[in-house]
Amino acid sequence: MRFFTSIVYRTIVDYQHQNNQTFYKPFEPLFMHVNSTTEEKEIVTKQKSKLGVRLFFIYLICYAGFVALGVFNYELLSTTVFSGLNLAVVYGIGLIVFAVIMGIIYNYYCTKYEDAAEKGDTK
Amino acid sequence: MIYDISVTALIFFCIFVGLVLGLSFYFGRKKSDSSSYYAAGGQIHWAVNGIAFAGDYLSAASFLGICGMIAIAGFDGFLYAIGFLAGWIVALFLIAEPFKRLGKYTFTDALNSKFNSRAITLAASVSTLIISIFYLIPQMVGAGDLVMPLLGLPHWAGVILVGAIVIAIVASAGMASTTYVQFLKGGLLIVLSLILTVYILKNGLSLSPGTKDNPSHTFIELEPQVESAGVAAVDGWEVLSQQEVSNKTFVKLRQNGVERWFYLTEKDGKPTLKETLTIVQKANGEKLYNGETKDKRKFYQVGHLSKIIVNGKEVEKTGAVGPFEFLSTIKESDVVRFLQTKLTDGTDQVAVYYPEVTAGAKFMLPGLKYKIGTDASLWSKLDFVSLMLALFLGTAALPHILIRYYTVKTPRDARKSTILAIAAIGGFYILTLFMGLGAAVNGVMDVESSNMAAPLLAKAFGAVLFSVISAVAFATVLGTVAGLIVASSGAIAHDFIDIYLKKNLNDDNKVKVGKIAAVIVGIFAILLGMAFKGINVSFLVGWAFAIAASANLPAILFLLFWKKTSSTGISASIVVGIVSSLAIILTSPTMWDKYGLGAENAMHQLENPALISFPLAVLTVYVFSMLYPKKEVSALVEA
Repeated sequence: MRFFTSIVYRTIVDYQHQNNQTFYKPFEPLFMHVNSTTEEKEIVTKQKSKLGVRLFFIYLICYAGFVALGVFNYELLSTTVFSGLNLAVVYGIGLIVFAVIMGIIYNYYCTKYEDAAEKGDTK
Repeated sequence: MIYDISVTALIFFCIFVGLVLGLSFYFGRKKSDSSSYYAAGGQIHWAVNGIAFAGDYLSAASFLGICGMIAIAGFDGFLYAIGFLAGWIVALFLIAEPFKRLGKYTFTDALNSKFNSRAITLAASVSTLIISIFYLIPQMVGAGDLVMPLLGLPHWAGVILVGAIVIAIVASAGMASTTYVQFLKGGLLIVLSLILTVYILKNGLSLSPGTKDNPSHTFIELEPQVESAGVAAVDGWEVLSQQEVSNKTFVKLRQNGVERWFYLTEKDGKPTLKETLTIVQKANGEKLYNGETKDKRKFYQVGHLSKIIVNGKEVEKTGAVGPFEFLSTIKESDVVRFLQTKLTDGTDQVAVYYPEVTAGAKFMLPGLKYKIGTDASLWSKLDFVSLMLALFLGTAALPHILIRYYTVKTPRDARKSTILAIAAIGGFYILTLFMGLGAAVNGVMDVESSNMAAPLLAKAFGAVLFSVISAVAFATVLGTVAGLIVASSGAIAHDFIDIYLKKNLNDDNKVKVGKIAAVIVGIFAILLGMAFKGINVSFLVGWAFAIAASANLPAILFLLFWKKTSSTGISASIVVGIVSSLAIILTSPTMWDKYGLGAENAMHQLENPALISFPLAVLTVYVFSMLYPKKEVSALVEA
């Protein structure tokens, strides 16, 4: 139930917000208050940003691999790899699925870092 | 295309659009003080926010554009899906969290958070305006396409209709893209696409698609007697003339007083004349569809398989298939696509759409639009790389995309929303592959515009599905257009006039200026929407992404990851990014074709500018930051 009341409540509130700033002062200062509620330890910030950059480069390599394959070894993309599907389709769908998996990994580690930092606080 | 109006479809369409608009207005009218906003911060469930995120992002380009592009160019359309989604990785991993730490949520504000420079304000507001306009064009084109089969109106009427509705809403009340409305739209779009995909798979593949009551047109093939001078005689038809256009031969024949054009090609080593679709523009302004007037309704939807191979055997139809089987069967079979060419016949201007048999193996590979094989030219290879670069880097740099990331309370919820959004959008994009291919083989394509592939496919499966899908797509367009017009009028009224020109407008005047700006931008968008009719909307969005990637992203990345970045570097980079990408777009083959100068005569053959303009902007921010280093005063201003 809370799920639905939250939808409705939020929508109304969202709307006022939008109306308040339709033509002026986009997105401040209302949003700032919402977000500055949780102060983050610098070490967590650093860990998260390092992880983000790393995962970004991993994905970049995979993505660039697809583009490079297209430009330099186009014929390879037509090879049938699995269930009658060619490499282009498998790689393409793979890139989409991989993005989701990377997102889940990122979330898992970020949550872990944040939890670890909070535990450290309460000790 | 000649469309019949379906009353059922129309009624459902109106109900749905009314529902979405009504909701939007209903919540818009309720006003109270902003303090409740703080109380509600964090009230929203992250899952709702995630789907709303998807609703925000899946504009006309995703649903209409990608499906349409896949339907006419096969795998090349899917490149857009891959690139659009990959862009989220940049947004999530590199931009979102550091932005939040800066405490700023729009590009203009974030870029300026350390400097408070007027030059940056000016450059950023201009880039917001230009990106918004380039994003508006495809939405308007898509809106016009959507309205045609529903209301039977011409394209320009659809564009004006959408423009007028949105201008009226924005200038009177202001239409909010609320979380709930976006959630509804995003959720519906995904569910409907899933239903459509199930229909496609259940229906399977067939040489003669269409239902019993509504069979698709069977294109005729004639066997001519060919002599050295060309086609001499055809059984039952009178041979009138013959023309060659870019190595294709077209023959004009007459039967029962109707003149038709045929495409001369070979089939199994024998010369064959294949039926084409033509629109003849007579000198007196009369338009003939396949040689007859519009009311005769002799113009067809196209796209079918000419050969289906399952397990090495040729079959008439497959019956229901699984998702992998669907893709692999198309790969083994032959797809008939209709390509366009133009010819002049005496005083008549003739647009000919002729069938081209494409091997499924080729259709399921990149290369039909962006030629990248060994025999491809350097230009087209560069174009492919450029497109992929623009899509990858553009998402995070669009002014309106990241905002929702900051609407949930905790960083955890923000992340979870984003990941759900990526999953939902990714799932949707995989479905576009099936919808696009489904449209390509089920005889539903409109040769004049690829954008309606998915809705027309839905029409083949039933009027209700068609109207609901069109309504959701239409509501999506309305929401996106409204949001973009608000964003660009904000850039004019707030950033430019108020801050840059230091007019210090009071609130009333600011709203007034904003509304005037909204009307002007809206009218401008209507005109552009008419001018770009018939071009695939994803292709057009590719331009918006390229400009965003070139103008905004280098500046933002340097600001976040390089301490020496200076305000001069940032403003110079935005300017160089905009100017170079715009210059390349305005001299591209597509624009040259629009100017009436012929695509092949363009100054260069690069359709997407990112490959040149992005590195140029990166170089600019680096060089200018070195030449004009950061001024220490900025620290004071920031404090």
